[in-house]
Amino acid sequence: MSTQTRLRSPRAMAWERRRSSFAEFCREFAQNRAGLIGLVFLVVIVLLAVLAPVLAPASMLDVTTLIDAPRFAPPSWEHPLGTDHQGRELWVRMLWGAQVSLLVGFAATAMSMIIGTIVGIAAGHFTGWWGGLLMRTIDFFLVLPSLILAIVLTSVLSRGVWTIVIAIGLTSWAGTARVVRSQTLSVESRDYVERARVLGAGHWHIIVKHLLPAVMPLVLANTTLTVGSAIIAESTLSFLGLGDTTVQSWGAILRNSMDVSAATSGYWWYVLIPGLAIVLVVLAFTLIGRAVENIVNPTLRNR
Amino acid sequence: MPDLTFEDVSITYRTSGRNDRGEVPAVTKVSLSLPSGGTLGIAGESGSGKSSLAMSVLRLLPRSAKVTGRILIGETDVQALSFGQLRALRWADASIVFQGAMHSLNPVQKVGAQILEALQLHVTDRWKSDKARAARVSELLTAVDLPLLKAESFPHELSGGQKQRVMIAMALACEPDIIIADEPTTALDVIVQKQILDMISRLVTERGISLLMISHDLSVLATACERIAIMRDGELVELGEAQQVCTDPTHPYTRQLAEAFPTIGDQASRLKPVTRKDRSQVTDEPAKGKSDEVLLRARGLSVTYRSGGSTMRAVRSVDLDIHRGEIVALVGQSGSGKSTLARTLIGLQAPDEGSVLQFRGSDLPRSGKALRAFRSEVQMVLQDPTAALNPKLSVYESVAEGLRVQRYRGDERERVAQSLTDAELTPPEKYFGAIPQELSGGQRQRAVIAGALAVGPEVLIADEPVASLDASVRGEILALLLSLRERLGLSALVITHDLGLAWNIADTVAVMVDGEIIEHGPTEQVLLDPQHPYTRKLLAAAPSIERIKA
Amino acid sequence: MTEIMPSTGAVILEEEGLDEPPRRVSGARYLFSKLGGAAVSMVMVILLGFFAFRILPGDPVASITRERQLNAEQVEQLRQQMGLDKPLWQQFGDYLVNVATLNFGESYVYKTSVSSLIGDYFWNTILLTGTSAILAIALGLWLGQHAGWNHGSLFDKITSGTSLVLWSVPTFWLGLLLLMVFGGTLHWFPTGGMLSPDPPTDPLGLIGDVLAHMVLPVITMVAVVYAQYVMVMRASVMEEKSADYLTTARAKGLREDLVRRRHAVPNALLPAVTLVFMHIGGLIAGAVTVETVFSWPGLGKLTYEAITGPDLPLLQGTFVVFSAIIIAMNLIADLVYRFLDPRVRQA
Repeated sequence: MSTQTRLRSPRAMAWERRRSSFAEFCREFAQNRAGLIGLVFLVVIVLLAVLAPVLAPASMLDVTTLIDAPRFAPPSWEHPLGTDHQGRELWVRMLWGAQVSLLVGFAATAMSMIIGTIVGIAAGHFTGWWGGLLMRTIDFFLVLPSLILAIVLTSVLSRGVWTIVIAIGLTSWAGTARVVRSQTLSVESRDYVERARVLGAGHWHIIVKHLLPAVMPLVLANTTLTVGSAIIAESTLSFLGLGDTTVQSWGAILRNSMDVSAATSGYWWYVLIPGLAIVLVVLAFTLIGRAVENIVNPTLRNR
Repeated sequence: MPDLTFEDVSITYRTSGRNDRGEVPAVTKVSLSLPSGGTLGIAGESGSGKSSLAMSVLRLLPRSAKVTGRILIGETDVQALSFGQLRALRWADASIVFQGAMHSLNPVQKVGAQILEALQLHVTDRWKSDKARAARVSELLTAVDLPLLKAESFPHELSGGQKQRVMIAMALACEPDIIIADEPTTALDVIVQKQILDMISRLVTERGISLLMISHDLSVLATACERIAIMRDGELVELGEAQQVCTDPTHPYTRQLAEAFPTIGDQASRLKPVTRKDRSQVTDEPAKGKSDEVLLRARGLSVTYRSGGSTMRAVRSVDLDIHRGEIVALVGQSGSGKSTLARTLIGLQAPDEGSVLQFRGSDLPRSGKALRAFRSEVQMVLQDPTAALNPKLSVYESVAEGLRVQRYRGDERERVAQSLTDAELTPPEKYFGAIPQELSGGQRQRAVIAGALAVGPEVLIADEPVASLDASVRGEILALLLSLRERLGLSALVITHDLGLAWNIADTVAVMVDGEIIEHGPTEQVLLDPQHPYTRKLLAAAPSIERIKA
Repeated sequence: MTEIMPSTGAVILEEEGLDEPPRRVSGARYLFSKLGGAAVSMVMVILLGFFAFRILPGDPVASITRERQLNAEQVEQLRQQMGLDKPLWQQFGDYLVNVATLNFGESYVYKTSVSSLIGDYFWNTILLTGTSAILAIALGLWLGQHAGWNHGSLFDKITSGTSLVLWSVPTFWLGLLLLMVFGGTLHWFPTGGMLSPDPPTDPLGLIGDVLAHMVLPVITMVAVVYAQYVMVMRASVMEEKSADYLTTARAKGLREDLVRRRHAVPNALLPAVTLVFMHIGGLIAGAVTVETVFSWPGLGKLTYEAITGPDLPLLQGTFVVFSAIIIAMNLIADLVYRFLDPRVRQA
């Protein structure tokens, strides 16, 4: 209990409390070794992606300059990760691919999160006709196979990176919405929300003051997990040929590998490296996500 | 028939993880004995260690618990048994009646099958065949007054009382020598509680079984046990004959517990809840009492719920008045509709057409500014103070919430400080930055009350304001309500299932059953000279320390 | 404290013998309401099938012709062929009629009716996804139940660790990897298709041939999906572990493994089953990539070819059929849940 009798304004007190709880959050996160490893790994990858133009200038991807470059060269000192069917260095493609894969992952997740949170809170808070309709919509989008729908969307819209972002964003928000909705419902049934109503609070006050803060930690945990699945979704869509063929992405590299039957021809680096990168990045996000979940939901602490 | 003996028993829990507090002691060096065929009650508040002690008899404590000392059933040290021997001893020598009303029964298995399982685990000559076992299940169900059909029911299809009977039948199944009853009547209604207690006593005496009963309610133990032990913070504080412990205790803590459940008819507790504070200034002045001005009026108030195709009439044509300066106790058991009535009076629930509901002469507003203005006149305090406060907001913010919602123009800080002072949380600045987790149950309830007071209401509706609080704190909150009437002229409608509470602080009592108010009048009249047969039944069923004298 | 709980009947008067019989929702009524829900979903899918292709910004014809060189006359002919010159409401009417008669038009790539194509390939996909689903569910639930009960043990750590890693693996890449290692390098299994170029004629040999071709794709699908089921079941069991009725069971003298099997697992199964069936959609959609990688002749491969075509009618058809399968699975999930949980049988 605070024994200070300093006359600080309540707003200052609130901010100090937020700051200290954030510091507490960081401290707890640091205790989770897996999450920490994931975070560090992710920071490294992001740095590499950002520095891609510096580390591997775009000219290195220009096929016209690579007429004499060896095709399908296995990894060696000269070609650290091997070369592809057009003689391009795989490590160069991987760096540039990191940009796209991460960008799409983040952007699609942001879109999915925003839609999901808004719809989820609305579905949980508003009872009656609207709430029912929103719930049916969420359930419908949950049932719909997101991959199939994403395929449809990308087929119809013009091909490009942003199409993929929109496709993933529009098809994956339902998972978040469902989680947000059930959390909203559980918070709505708490006494302190009823108390707020008794005090005369309207929708806005209850949503902003009670629902959002209660839901945000969950959304945060969900976000990191969603980025992982967004990256997988992007790679799958690119692999199926729905991405922009001029843009490098890890999924596109794998598509190339299938086109040239790398798997059955023994060009193992072409198949292994990009996939491994995807797995590691998604795993990193998953570990971070679980670490955040553990902090946010103390009942999960002993997982 | 063996005795049950606790010799110098201590139980500590190892805590791990974030809030590592090392070893937490739950029970410290307790020695007790329950002679064969006797009855012993253990009373204590939450955290006293009584449940840990009870669970240790069958080694049902979690793995993080460490037990020292000896626990003997007859000559057998329970701690020293192997797992096989322990499993054989469990239920056959000693069984436990858990709180059936909670989740102590497997939700997806029929109750008959669950009783049968006990018989299958401990097969004796008496029930060796399937047929004999089925017959025994029927025999047990009859012993607890349950129709045989109920064996095919799932737990969620039974009422609280019926589930408790199933637990008792199950406990008796293997003819144990000792039965441990862990809070067997908590969460049950007063009348059902009496039936269950009578049944336990009768069965135990008939079969010569020793009974160890755990409860937080001293009066419950007084009706069922010969001797009572009081535990506090893991230690044994008092032990003696039930009558002596309840009426003439030696330890001050016991006295506090006993007085927390006032006896109806005892003038000493009328309008004088037990508190630790010095309230002499209150007792000297005559109670202000109620005036004639009617603040809240209900006439023919009905509330009907409709779901699917069925309707349920929660409140049927209720007439109720709350005068200025009056404290009304609305007494009813669960299912009576009292909470629905409270929520309707405060405008959270819409009443049926034709109901009259007025505040200060004008109809209750339904929406908009008028409703908000109404909210500053009539406020509500809920049962569980922990749930009523947003755990992330500080006390200041929770109390100020009403002011912010009402767009209060004055000095917010001063108003919050004033409300906290009125709720007896002083000095208020000390509590500004505290979060609910840091406060005790009583302090949280005061914070909730302060939040309600902040908007300056005339009427306070309190729904079971002390039901979730420990016995020693109940008196404090009740005294607070009385003093609020004195100082601020606040009227109150207190909803409760506890008649003793009504005796303690109310001017008027209304008894509610099945949506209707069947009796209504001044407290002395209703509680000392009840007219309605249901009220008489309630009074007769209320466990009271006085009654064991008779 | 809500005290009006209609489903548990009148609490207080029961003691005087006035038992209210519990209101049971009859099986038929439940079935109808769930069927109704499924029907609504199907309708929305059909509507979506139309609008996604007609309304979204993007000229369907343009997306079809983007890879090919056609002159203006041919484009106009194509437009007429697709009925895009008619007013929108008429197109919609035609579409509804077509769907009702299961006529999805003619595939550009295969030049045969889409429905007959789907009919040919439908059962191959069911074989693949069905087998994978059953294996994944069984494996996931069993592993999850043990991991959850013994959580913190080595078994649990290994199981959860593996599941976490597998969850991060893209299905198609795992397929490629398996194809590369076991098909390409080690030559243990065939590298594609459902049947060898020269299949054996006797039934046993035929089955054997199909099975040999099934191994790698099934392993791929199971590996990625079972991980989710393990985590779901594990979490469910962990939550049940602290339930009071387990203490009652132990107090009666029941052995630990029986406590787990008879009491904890049946209760933990309930939420796990719903989640499992909800994720079935993911498994079925995974068929698209797996069939593509392994050249398995199924709906997934058809979808892939529809994408590369691009073949709009075919894409429309597979979209509707895939969605229908998933909606049907969810319906089955609801019914199975009702069967398992006695509490759902009441209002």
